[in-house]
Amino acid sequence: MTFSVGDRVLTVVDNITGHSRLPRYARGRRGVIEAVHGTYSVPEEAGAGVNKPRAGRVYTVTFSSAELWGHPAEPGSSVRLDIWQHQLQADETMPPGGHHDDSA
Amino acid sequence: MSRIHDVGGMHGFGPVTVEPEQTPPFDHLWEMRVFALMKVVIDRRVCTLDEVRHAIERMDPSDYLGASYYERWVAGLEAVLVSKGLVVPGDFEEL
Repeated sequence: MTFSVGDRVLTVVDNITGHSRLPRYARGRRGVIEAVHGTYSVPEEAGAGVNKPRAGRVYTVTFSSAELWGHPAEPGSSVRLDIWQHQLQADETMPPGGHHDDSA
Repeated sequence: MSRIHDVGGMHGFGPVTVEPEQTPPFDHLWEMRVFALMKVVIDRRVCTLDEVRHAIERMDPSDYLGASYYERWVAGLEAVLVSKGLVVPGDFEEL
């Protein structure tokens, strides 16, 4: 599964024990794909000294500051992170401000 | 789980200071040597930058917090090159 610009994604909360580019504050958080990049060596494998580490797609993901930091966050601000595909999954929940259509 | 380097969002470290640019961009001669050594081992595929990062992130937490940026590079490089049998502990003391 690959993602496209505008897709909503959720980051993993894996028990990461090796080298990872996904900071703790952004694990298990919801963001939006802002850019799709090429493929790069998977850091967990490259960091472990694997001879030929897998290459994985990298995306720029935008997180609202409120999603990362909660109420003290500066309104309207956001954080962008480059994240490998294997640490992202599709976010199927309602977007902020979204609502169920109960009229039917 | 995360390690000591992963301090994003943590309070108590004070403001981030931005130092004025200087040429060369090093405070000490040994930092320039460490930078050159890192470039050589990566260009020659002795190890990857991610292996050095992994080694830096495995530093003892109190050592990590007490070390400067390039002191961490030395610790990480030494750990990786020792693990590959290319240097012995202490080889970098004369940098």
